[in-house]
Amino acid sequence: MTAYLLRRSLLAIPTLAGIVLAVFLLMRIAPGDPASALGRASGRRVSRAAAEAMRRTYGLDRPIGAQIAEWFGRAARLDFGRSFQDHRPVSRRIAEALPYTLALNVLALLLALAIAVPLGVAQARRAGSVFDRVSGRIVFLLYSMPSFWMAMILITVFAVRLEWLPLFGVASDPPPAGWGAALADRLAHLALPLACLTYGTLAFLTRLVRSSVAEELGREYVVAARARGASESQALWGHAFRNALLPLITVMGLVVPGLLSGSVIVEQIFAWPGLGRLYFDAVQARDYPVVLGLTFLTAVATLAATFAADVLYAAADPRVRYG
Amino acid sequence: MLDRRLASALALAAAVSACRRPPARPSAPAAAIGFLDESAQGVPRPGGTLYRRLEGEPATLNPLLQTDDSSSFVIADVARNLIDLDKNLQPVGGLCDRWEASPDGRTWTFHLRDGAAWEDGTPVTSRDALFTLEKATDPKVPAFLFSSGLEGFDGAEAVDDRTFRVRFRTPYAFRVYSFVMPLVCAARNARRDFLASPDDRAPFSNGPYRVARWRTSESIDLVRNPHYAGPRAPFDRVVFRILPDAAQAYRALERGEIDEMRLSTDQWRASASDPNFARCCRTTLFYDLSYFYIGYNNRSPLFSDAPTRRAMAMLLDRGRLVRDLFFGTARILSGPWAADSPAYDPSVAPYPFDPAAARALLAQAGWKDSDGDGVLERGGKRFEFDLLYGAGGASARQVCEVFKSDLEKAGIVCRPRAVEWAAFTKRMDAGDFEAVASVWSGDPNPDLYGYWASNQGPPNGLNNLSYANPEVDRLLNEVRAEPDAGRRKDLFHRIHRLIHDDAPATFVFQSAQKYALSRSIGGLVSTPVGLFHFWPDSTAWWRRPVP
Repeated sequence: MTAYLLRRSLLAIPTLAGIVLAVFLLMRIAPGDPASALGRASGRRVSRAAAEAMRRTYGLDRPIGAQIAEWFGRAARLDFGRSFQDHRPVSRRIAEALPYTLALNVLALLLALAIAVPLGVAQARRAGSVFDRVSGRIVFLLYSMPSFWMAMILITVFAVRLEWLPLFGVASDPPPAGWGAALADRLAHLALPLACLTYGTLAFLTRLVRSSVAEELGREYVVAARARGASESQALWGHAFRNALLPLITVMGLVVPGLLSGSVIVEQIFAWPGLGRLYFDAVQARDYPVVLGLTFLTAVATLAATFAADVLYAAADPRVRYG
Repeated sequence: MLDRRLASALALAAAVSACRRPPARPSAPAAAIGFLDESAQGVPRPGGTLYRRLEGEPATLNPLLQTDDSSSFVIADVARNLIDLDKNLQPVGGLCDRWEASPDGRTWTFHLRDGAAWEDGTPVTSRDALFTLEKATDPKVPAFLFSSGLEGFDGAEAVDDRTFRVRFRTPYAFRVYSFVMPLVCAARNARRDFLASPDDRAPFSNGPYRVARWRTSESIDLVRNPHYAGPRAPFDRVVFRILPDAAQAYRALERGEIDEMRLSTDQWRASASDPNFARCCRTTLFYDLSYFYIGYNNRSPLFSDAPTRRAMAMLLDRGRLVRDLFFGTARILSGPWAADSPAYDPSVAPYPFDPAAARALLAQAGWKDSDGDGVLERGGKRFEFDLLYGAGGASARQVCEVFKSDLEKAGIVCRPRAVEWAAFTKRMDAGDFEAVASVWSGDPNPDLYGYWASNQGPPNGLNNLSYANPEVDRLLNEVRAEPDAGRRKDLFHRIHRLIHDDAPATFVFQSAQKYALSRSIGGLVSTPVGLFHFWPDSTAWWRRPVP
């Protein structure tokens, strides 16, 4: 097991390097550069001489091999350089936005799981019933609704009509006095973006849980367990659900990295200062250091999550052995 | 089953959107377009907070490195310029109260205002000015907004603490615009990398406000600068809210969470029949110095001759665009300046929409559909091209689509293509296109040398269309050296007529800028540069009691 863990961790390094390299090259192959990206909003243009000077200032005139080598050299020391836009360290810019994205996305995932698991299991237990069909259709409908549309509906109902919830932002200006009121204010600001991020994952996970639990419930070992006198809940949770967890773990390994990449659309609509907006702005501005820093972060998260999923697999399924 | 579910969900959605507001009338509201000047109305009441909207996160607040509008809106409240432009776009004192040019126009002497001070109370001195000029002319410093205006810079020296001289290799009639430039504090930036200046996040103020806090991607809070000696701005605080989504901004405006925003034409139309909006807010429409144009690559075999380019202008039904797409809030142009610029010659009439005359022109220019496929050819080349425009501009797309269908009737194949901005400007600068549709962002400086002189073509200059006319070159040079404003105007009018005749681009129209403002905001002034970008813009606004 230890040898396996070690081998997997070492393998992660070339994978990581490959991902970053691919993004590095893609960014450069894409037309445009930091100078040509200026003036997106104002339409102002810069002269060729100024653009060339900018390329020199940011070291973009050097051979691409040298730039790549320099980036990796610095990244090895966890220095991701400075943003081309505000010249602050990339790590600072990421650290600023990360808590907002994490708070929103972790809550969204937990909420989705908290609803999807019981709902999916309940559907599977009563597969084919009216409850299963009706809730299944609703979940399917949710899954097919784009988040910007859902955001519009939710805003119209809860923020504009009922005026229960704020329109945008993370807190009121100025925040209400007292920590209790301030906390409630923050939670109120969280509600709508949270709802927009939750329902899609919720729908997806419910369908997954339902189908895998239903499949396991029909297996012979469940019948055998029941025949041995296992209670209904033992048969369900101790036998069928445990096996149904395997596909869920695999999918979680893919969902967790998404927690870091943020959601551009929801963050734009609710003016949420998260990583999604940072990424989007950085790509538009051709702010290479920020794009690479975020790519690195997401790649690490992806590798770590698939790694964790593999380890959890072994815990959930005794047949899986790593050698 | 699913169908019924879907149907009820759609019905719910329809009900939700229907209760929002009554559907907008298809008829266009009568638009009053013009400049507003409420600066003399009422006595400004001090106090309160002004909430402004930013459409995006400012890249930097370093006054010298600003490039985007979001940055410049904030910086304008914090950093005075050496010379400012007033509401008539005339130079007025900023950090300097006096300046004079030598008779040969090559040496400029500036006198810093008594009392001009940084936010810590230390005076603004010649040393700061020299430091700023050194940085602005340093090729390693990306001071795009100011470096081009300082071309021909030949050094600067301090006469005393409050007086400094700047020398140039050549005189330049529009030099004064180069000094609509903020200063950065020398003491604060000395001995450190200017690209990691504390000014990037918190510019050292010498204006009416200073930056109290910048919450990334959320808001920027300004408070009064206690050491500002100029006229006291009415608002105690200014909060810039970073709110990218336009529909959300509109709702925030209605709820009083922001006080101003730019409206799209669609939003403006919706606001006209929105009772909630009418209660809290008002709109103001005016023309600024920007205009929409369709430019042709003058080196392309398709567009190398003036008659073909003139025919293009006559094939675009601009009257219909103004009527149907902009509901009367646009005006047709005939030349390379906005109509309110003194350089614009109103006696030059725009090309009329005249497909028959255009076809005759095209036939004269050698275009003919010889193979009968409905598309014109000349010298074996079919008349077909891509029309590039910057992605994201809704009106650019609509105009291009209309142009496409207008051209189709004349046997010309035009394919509108949206190109992401950074890629779009890259292709424009390289001259790698047949035709582009874009917005000319107007500048109070009417000098167009960098954009239309033949030696400024791609890839080194901004004459992206590769326009070349020796007579225009001569006049562009002459006007830059002409000290007399009246004679400059005559020269500009001659340039206007020549460019109109050559038709290197179709100067389609100006569409009116549309702003929505809270009814409680007093002291509004709009100018040809808009509600902002002049002195004192929103620093003279105040909160008036609303009945």
